[in-house]
Amino acid sequence: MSRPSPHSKGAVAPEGATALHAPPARARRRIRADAWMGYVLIAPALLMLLAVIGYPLVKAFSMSLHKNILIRPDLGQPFVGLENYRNVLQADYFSNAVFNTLIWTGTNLVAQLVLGLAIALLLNLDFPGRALARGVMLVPWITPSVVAVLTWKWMYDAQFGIFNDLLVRFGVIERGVAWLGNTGTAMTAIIIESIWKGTPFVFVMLLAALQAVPGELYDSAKVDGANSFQRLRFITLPVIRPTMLIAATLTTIFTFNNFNAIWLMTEGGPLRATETLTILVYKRAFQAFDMGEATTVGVITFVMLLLFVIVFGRQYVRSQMES
Amino acid sequence: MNLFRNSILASLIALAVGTAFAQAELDVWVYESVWAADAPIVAAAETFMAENPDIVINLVPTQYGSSSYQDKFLIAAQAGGGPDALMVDIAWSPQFAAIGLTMPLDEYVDDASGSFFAGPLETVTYEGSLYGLPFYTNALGMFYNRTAFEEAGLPLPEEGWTWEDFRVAVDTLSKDGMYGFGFQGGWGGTFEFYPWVWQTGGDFLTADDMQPAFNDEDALEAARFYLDIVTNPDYVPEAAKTWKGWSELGAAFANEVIAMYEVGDWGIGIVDGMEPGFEWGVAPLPMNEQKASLVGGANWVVNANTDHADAAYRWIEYVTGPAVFELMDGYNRLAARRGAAESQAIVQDDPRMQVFVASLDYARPRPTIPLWTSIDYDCLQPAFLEVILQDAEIDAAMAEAELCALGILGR
Amino acid sequence: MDRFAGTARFVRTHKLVPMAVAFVVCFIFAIPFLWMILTSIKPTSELFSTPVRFFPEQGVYWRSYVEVWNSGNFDRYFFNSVLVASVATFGSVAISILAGIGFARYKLIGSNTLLLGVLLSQLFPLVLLVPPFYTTMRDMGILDTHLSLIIAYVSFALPFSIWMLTGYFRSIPVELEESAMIDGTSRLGAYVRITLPLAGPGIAATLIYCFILAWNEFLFATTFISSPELRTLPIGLQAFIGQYQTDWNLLMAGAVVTTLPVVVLFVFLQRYLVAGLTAGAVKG
Repeated sequence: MSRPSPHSKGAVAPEGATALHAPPARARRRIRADAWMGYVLIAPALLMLLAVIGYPLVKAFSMSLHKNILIRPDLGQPFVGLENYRNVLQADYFSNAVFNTLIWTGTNLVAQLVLGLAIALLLNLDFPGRALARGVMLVPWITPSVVAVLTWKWMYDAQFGIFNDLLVRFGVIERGVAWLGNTGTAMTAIIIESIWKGTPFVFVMLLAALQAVPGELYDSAKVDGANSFQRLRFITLPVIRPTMLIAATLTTIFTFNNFNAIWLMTEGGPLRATETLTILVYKRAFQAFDMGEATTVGVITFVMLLLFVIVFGRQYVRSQMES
Repeated sequence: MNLFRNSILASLIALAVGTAFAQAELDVWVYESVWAADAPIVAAAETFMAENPDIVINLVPTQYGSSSYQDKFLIAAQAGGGPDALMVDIAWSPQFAAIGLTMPLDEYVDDASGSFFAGPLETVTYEGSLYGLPFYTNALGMFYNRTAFEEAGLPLPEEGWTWEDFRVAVDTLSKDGMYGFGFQGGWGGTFEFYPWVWQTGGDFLTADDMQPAFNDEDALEAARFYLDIVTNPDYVPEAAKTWKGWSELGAAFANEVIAMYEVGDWGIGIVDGMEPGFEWGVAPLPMNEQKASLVGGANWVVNANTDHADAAYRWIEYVTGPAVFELMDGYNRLAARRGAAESQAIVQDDPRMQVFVASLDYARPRPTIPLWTSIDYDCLQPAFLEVILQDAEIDAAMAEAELCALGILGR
Repeated sequence: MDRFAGTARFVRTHKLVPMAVAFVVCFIFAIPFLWMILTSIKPTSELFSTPVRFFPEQGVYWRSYVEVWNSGNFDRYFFNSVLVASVATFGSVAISILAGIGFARYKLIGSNTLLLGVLLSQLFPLVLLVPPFYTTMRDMGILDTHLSLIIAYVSFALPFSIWMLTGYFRSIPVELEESAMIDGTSRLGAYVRITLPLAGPGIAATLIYCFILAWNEFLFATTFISSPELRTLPIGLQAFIGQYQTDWNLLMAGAVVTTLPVVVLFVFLQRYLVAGLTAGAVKG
């Protein structure tokens, strides 16, 4: 019996399309009989995650309920219930951080999805040098974040940076602009770097998804007279929707908590213009030495992301069923 | 047979000697830039170990980063670990002491004031106790482009030059692509601002360290003067808004973008390394009612978690003792120990260092209360940045900063 | 095989168009990397000039690379990074293969919740996890060892790896294993001989992800490691950002040294990556 390859482009494996649904009854019965084996298999992963990450998470939650200001050991670490939460939620630096985080994450998300899709569509076409192009497109992902951020910081340099130099040469501006030093431009500048860094990952996921779209769907649409834009809208997009949702979820998570990309560029400045929640956490912990407030902001960040992931998860399950 | 018995005897003696000398092994953190295979500190450690065979010094170069060194020590010491002794920036000493991470040295030292300069000593004193020993120190001076001054026909800056002299120089030199002054605008310029307040006779906190004083009339006069200059787009380059480090200022100076900037003795190496194509010199800061400058530097502290308190103290006592003069010559830095001016070769040889040494006579450290960094970051810097970036009114911004400081101190 | 029939005819006769557009797009994305390389081959005196010079004036200055590799100790750091990243990758891939098979082949109570839960660790700001992590490593006595980094990296790579491989395994038909078992193979044998080889691309994709994560990680490396001889490449790079000055050309040379090996690894495994994400992403 020949072994069908799971990547044969013409086939849509039934198990795959209904991955989150229960397998057919006959198989289900057999699987349940030795379910214990399944638990054994996932045990190492779960134990590791629980021990190494579960403990710090619980500790952080607990710390957010206590007063803990390191430079005031005289105050001790009393339990204060939700007082930290009250203080943080009322602080104007908090609403500023939330606003910045939403802008930072939202812009990155939309830009990376749009660009990632466009580039994936482009590099899915057949032309010579395509393999090389795909390779080059992944360099930003491979570059260590410290390197990427510092290189961009150097390019943004107000005195000796290449961007200012080119803009002045082409007459767009008269003198070099301090991109990272002005409240109006700093956020845009760091977002551009982050888009550059993150788009390759989205691009790769979408490219893979595009390649799995069955050719017959296009052929039959062609027969029905659909043009390429209609094919894109009614076939391609719906089929790759699950992948787009995964890419969106992961991008949101990575971007929301991204510390390096902002810290090394502006440290959250100027005047808190680029201060996101994760920068705020760092500052409360290591500059104000207020561990109670720092963990509180951390917990709030966690909850925000959790809600987001749950919403995305539901969308994803629904989209799986539809496709 | 004799040989055999002798060797047994020798081994037994060695064993006895070895166990009698229980060795204390110390982990000692130093800044990465201070350490290299052949750096002076390594030689100093070896001399110390020769004189103290019961102690082994293990120098651990640790990276400075943007605040990595401080964070790393905080995390380690909070967890009960960390090095036995370490050098720290003077700005962090009060905080580490307040948190309880460093050990008070009162049982070892009675009165250190005769041994060290007053300014640095203040930074290791917390609530009346001594929490470390001063290592090296520096004061802010003004680098100036001598060629530019001479070509503009300006008198060279020297001891006793005034704010007005400074303002005239900045104004005259700001032409033909050069700017009169540069500063770390990325931080709002608060670092360079300290001496200006003291020069008017004002201060940042009241004498009891309980109330902000930087919005009082004389300090406000300094703020107005300083901010008027740095917000003038002809006097200071746009790029200064992003400058947060000394290499950027050094590069701007060496490339004739700025004619003057405030910096300490560490700047000498940076600018020399860039091989500027002009003559330059060091001047003391301009004066107003009085002369003033800002003290910087590093101290040696002992980790409160250490198991080898005595040994750790002996190390820091040695490295800040009379041996420090020769050690600091190796780094082109000034020791914080009294007698540095007379004993250090670099002071004798380099007239630029002499200016810095002279400035130490009237140099003060930033306020040493642990809450001060919060006031600096959260109140002063934003006020300055608002004036610089958003054209805020100086008086209003400083009044707001005062309220902010009251809030922090009230906690 | 062309996807857009109408466009396909155009493209077939005008392959130049996508090629040109792709070239422009790739060039734009490559600019920072090119600038990194150009900066690394300039001497310090040429870094700060207005207007900016693109190319080194006096010939290529290789000294930065020599200095970085020798006195910058990058040969040592390179070795350390290879060691840590390889072991961490092996660990993550192994554990996530087990977990992936567990989730994919067995009906477990609340497996969807568990899969979601696995992702939870990524939601918390990393900065706050550092102190408790440090305490844990200290209690285990493995501070200032590569093992502490390996454990941390495996934990952080697991969530995505498990997601990837679970999806991938789910897309491989159960019948393949069943038919092997009918022929007498044990269940375990079926997994090893049938499922794993078919999952090759997915495993390759996971492998690359884990490797990049471990290779580029900075925060934990700088916190756990004190001994200079144990440092990894990202820490080595930090050294060029001094207290008083940044040596841009050395930093960029170090950056090229840090990035190039992964580029090479990637180019080698490139086809697997794309193919590997196919079933894993879409079906999982």
